[in-house]
Amino acid sequence: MNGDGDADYGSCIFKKRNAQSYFAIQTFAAPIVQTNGTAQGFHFDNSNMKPLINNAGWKKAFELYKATGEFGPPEELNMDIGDTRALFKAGRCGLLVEWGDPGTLQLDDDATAIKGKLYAIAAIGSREVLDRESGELVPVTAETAPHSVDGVNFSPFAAFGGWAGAINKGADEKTKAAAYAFLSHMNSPEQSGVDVTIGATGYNPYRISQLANIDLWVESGMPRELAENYLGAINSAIDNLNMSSDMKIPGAQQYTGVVLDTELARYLAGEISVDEALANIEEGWEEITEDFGRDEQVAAQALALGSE
Amino acid sequence: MSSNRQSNGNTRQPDLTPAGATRRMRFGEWVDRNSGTFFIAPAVTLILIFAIFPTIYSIFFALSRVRFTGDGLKFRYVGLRNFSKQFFGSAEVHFLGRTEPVNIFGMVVFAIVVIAILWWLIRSIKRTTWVGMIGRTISAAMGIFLSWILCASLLSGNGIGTLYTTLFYVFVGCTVQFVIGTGLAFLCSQPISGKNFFRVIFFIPLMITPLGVGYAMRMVADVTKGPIQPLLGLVGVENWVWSADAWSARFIMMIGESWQWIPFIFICMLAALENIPRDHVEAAQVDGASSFQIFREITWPQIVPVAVTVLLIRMIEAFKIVDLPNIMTGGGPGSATESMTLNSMYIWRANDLGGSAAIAYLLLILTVVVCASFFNYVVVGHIRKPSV
Repeated sequence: MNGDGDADYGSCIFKKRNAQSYFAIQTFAAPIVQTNGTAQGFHFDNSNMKPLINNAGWKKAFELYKATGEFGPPEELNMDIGDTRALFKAGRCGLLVEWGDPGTLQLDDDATAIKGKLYAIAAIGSREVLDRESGELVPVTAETAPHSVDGVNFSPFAAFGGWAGAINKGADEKTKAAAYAFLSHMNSPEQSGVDVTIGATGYNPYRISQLANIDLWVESGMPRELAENYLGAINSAIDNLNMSSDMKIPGAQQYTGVVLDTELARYLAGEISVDEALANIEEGWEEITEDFGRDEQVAAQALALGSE
Repeated sequence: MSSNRQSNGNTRQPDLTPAGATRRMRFGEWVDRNSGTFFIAPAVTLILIFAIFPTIYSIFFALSRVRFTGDGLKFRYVGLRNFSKQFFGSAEVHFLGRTEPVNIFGMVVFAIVVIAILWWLIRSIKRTTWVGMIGRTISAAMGIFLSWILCASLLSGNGIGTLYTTLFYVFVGCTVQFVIGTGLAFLCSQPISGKNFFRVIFFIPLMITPLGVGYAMRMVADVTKGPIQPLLGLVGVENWVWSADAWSARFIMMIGESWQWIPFIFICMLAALENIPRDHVEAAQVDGASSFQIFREITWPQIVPVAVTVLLIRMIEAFKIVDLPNIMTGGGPGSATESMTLNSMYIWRANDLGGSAAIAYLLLILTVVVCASFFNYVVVGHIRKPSV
């Protein structure tokens, strides 16, 4: 792909333990498990917070995620997002599952091998979805997946859920004002409009003035065709009524960053089977829910998904 | 002054010292009598503040579900739930390893170990006090527990958990470090040219921050573009990746850890070796003893108190290994290189302070029992033994 004569990799998707692979697996699982809009969610049965993970949908996501390793670098199991991005910029990767950053990273001076070669889509889709009644996979139809397009169910996963600025309520008024002024400055169209076009900032477009303004990107050096594709992918993810939300309830980091991440890593390393991994996650999630209080978590989940 | 006043008291001579001077003298005597307390007070205070208090305070964490609220931490008592999760709950296999099924070999080894430990315990009844018996019973219980986990997991062909990964770093790692460190110290204690240069070279890794060691080892051990890649290519190893296999990853981790800590063993053992009186060695040489005999009969007995003490210190440190696996593999592949400390750190980072504290306490108990046993049954014996 980079023309150096060496074979490159079909896929580079980070799989390192305690990095960010728990985000990647949710990208795989969401279009299989969530079919009825954002408020449906894909982690729990929202009515009682029973884990919705030990089923054929998540099992397929686990297996697919592991299978991508066959087309990846040999050390992919120990690669975090920084490692896969380095390979991507060197022109060695055919496929990435990522945030919006590669769109701007390809404009970096050290990414000449891939400049202008990126093609982005909102997220992975699935032709099979989980039937929550039977726990089995069924083909995508207008009934089983109302938001599907041409027999494919999409559910772009809003991994990490975005950045937020916060000011300590205990701070004195002068500090609060200064902090607010700083956050306002960073988020002003003038400042953030420049920042989102620079890969190293980690910013991805989030204001309408950035998402709808192709010229902003062309002026930053992105070819128009690429800018249209890049912003089109992000806009289609944001506009998708079936967009899947990251976990936003108390203990979210324990559910995903510890339990899901640990069992996923053990499955990827061959320590345990996919069935064992899913059963362990189910047990671990139940423990966390009981720790935080089931009723409180039911209420928090409804609030987080806007399903009240 | 004190003895003088006592002799005066016996003869009941009138005290002609002015009243102010008497008060000053009494104060001076009081200061003299309590000087030990004054000198040690700052150290005790610091230990209480920075070691004892956090240790006791963390018990509340370990027995609670801790939540962050706008008004600070909120504790909800959950009893031993954070501990039971590690032995019987969702974290059981992660902590202890897979303990089913147990094969015949594992059962036979376990039976032998249990018989040996019980025999040792029964023999101890006549030799030690009741306090000593309590200590030995705790050591025996820990020995039987650890033996069972080892026999049911590793020796039965099952995977190990963070408990035995930690013990692997401690026992295998410390053994390797001790053998190599002592060997290098022995070489550098010989009259060879350039030994001062080698002393400095061997000591350098100890001065590097563990984070630096982790990143350096990760680069060195990179089999796709690191310096050993051409070497592997020469011997026909093309697509082998250490980070994808549990045991190779553990061994690479241990090599990195050893690289950093061998200098510690080296420098301590070198000091011990250079303190051996030359006349003992020369006398043995005059008597016609071989080099091996001199080492076994003269050198080793004199350095063994230092050796076991150094080993004890290194073991205590090794139980806390966290930097290298965190940087090099993140605890992976799977949970293969994850130590108990790293596990505790990950859980703490997810704001589960209670779960994290519980693991820290389990590690503390393990470290104290193993190291206290090693100290009482190995170190003390060698220190009290006449050196020659």
